[in-house]
Amino acid sequence: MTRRERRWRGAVAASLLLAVAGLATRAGVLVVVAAVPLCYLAADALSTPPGHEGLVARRRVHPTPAAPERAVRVTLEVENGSDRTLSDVRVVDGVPEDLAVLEGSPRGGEALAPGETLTVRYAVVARRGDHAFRPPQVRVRGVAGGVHETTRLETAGDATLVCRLDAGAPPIDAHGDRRVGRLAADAPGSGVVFHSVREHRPDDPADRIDWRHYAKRGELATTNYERRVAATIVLVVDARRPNRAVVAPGHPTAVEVSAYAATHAAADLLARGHDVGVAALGVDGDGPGGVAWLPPAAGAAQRARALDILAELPGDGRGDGEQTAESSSAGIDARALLGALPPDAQVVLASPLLDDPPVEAVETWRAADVPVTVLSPDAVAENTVSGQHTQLRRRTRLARVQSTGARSVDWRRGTPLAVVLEAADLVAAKSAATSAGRPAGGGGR
Amino acid sequence: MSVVPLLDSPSAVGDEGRPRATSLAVVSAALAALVTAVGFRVGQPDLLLSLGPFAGLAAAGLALLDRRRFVHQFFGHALLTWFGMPLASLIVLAPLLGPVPVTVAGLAIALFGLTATWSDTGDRESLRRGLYATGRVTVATWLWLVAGLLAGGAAVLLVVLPTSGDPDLSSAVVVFCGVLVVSTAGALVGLRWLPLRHLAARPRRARVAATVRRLQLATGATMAAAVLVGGATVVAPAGSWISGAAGGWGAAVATALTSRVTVGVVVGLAGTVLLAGVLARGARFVANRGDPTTRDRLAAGLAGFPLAVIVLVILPFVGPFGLAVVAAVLGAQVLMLVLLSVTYVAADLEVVPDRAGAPAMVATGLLLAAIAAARVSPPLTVVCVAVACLSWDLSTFGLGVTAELGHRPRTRRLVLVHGLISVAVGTVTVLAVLALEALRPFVGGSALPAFVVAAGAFLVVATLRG
Repeated sequence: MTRRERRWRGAVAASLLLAVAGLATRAGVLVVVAAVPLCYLAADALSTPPGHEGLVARRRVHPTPAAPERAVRVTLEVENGSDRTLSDVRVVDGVPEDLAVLEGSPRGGEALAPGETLTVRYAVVARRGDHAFRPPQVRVRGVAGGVHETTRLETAGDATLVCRLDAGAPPIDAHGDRRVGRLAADAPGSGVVFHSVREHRPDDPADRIDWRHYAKRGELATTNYERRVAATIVLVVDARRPNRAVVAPGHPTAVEVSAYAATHAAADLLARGHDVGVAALGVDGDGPGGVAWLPPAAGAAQRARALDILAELPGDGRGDGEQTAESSSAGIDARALLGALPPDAQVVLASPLLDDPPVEAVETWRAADVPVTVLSPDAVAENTVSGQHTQLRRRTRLARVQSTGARSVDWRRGTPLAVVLEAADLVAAKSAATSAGRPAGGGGR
Repeated sequence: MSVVPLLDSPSAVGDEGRPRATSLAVVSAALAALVTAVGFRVGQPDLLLSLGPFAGLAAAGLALLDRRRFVHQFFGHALLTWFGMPLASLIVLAPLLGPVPVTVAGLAIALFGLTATWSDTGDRESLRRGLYATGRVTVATWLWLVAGLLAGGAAVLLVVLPTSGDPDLSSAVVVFCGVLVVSTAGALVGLRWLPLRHLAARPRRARVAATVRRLQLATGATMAAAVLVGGATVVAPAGSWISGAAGGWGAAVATALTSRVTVGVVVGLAGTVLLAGVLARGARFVANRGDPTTRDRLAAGLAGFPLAVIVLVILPFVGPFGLAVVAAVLGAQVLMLVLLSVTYVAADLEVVPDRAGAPAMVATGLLLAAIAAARVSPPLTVVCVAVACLSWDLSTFGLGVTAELGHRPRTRRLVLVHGLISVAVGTVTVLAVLALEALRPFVGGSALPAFVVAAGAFLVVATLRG
């Protein structure tokens, strides 16, 4: 599409003014000089766009697939493959509408000699789903800049940003030992880490006989190791409507981030041999309290089922017409969920804690002595007074969660999930070492 | 925190409104060279240094009016009016003085337009703010003048008149009592408005309040005594009892009562208390109404105060110089108001695109300078027009780049290439026009051949554009 810009409409008026002034004052130079604006006008009129043929575009998107809220770097290169200089090339990359530009600008402009390349670098925030980039819009002007030609360039390289909840999660078959979990128990048994030595019994396996003990004292003894047991963990994702909030346009919702954390947790726990179940609050299903529910189990099939449920969680408050308003915005039926939990099960709740029902649910579960861990992604923008008030209330809820004896993890924006969990583990270990016997808690900031 | 506001904050630079810095740098260099050349031609080599600060600081004031803080508003009002008034006077009065001042005035407009482009203040909204600010400062100046004249009149009434002449003892007592009554009344008002108790430390507040009450009682008693003594002196037979009371010291007492030291001390003390009270009352009024309007009015009031002081200081020296200064200060404000009004109306009528207001100001100023320079130096005329076209071309190109790509991408090379092409077109055009101008006397000596050339160019372009 070719268009002419009308920057020189005033040139004719200026020329006429100069000519009239020259005639009125009988100053010939003014009449002569009236030609100067017209010359600029003529140069503008004679300038034609050189065409975009020869421009070659290539885009790189890294990393893809990416996890939600991860900064993804995009590099767009437009090379002048023709044999003539293009004095004015402007490029705007076709950023997917759902994504927000976090850093840099998807726009650029340059004068390109033959073989030169215009590089546009920027970063976007990943959101769940496949996001297709539109072809970049390129505008080429002639030397005087009066006429421009606009087109969309076919682009080589990456054309899609794939954002998956299980991006980076460990595959279950590679590391999982399937049968025995890695939760250390106080009771001795078979395992790897040394626990104690006891008298040998005839039915003890031969590979646990402490032969050094026998060599020293002439008596058979059996080595005990820390027994590893499998745990039962239910991942509860708070996908109710109030939690489908975003920090800023183009950023993933708190539900997406919670689902991402739950996906990682499910993959990791299943890989370690634990039984894992999933409950999605705010999503209709046949589980306890009418929520989507996957009973705890282990194995690769369980992982696939869990990821299916987590991938189906509503991404935002708009495109979820199937969800009834009642089910998605009501409170949490914590007692029904409690009834469905197997004995000795633990609960991991992923919720941004934007309202009180999750806290009340944690209080209910803790009253029944169920170990609870709350992972709370931060979905509150603090650049307004109301945002600061909301953040204050959220931190109050985190404190309430801690006061019940649950372990809470405050996942601040921009911090990778692995770093948050590692820090939480360190804090929990330190806390356990210094205050043995007290109920576990803390871990969050 | 710096007291003097800086212009490099995003609010001054603007978001999407200003052309690219590279294009403005090229325009600035061309305009600076042109102004310097004109300065050398008219015998004033420091013309750029003379005009530049006024244009730059006036535009800076216009930019600061966009800010919210009081200190920014004060500097905005002050810079715009203090440095804009001389520019406005030059621009409006230059046609009365000849072609060279008109050329200089055109260059002043162009420099102001350039600095306004840099600070992104050439749009309609900025002009409206500037117009209102100038109006506020003008009103404030006049109010300060009225207040100053009233204070001067009171000083004459209370100090100069009573101390002139050689009155007898009765007259001296009556006059002094009159001065005392007016002064104590003013002091009582001042004491009532001064927040002495509030300013004292909390443990001392009761003591300070008691002292203030005693002061008020003493002042009131002094006023009552003055009324009684003055009234008795007027009512009683002239000079009988008072002369008797004074005995042989009558003349000395009369001289002491009507001396400037005595009256000056009384009036000075009371005036100081009254002024402090009025200032405290005004500050409280402003603080209680912390809305933007009050902030702007206070800033304008402070900016207008020095102007009123200049007028009041010069006013007593009646003569050509004094009148000229008073007329310059007061008249320049009106001229500035008129100039800003005309510019604002032009912007409001969208004679030029809103965002291109400041570049249009540059081009208009240079065209004006070119027309005036025709009688000073024809080559300068040609260069003025070429620089006007160059500045318009680069500024609007830079505006387009900003509008399409935003401020983030680096586009220096893109803009420089366009600037190079524009300079080349201008250079070729100037050389061609100068050649034509050189040949013109040989071709016919009149303007007709040139007009034919210009008309031909116009027709060619019109044909090309379809």
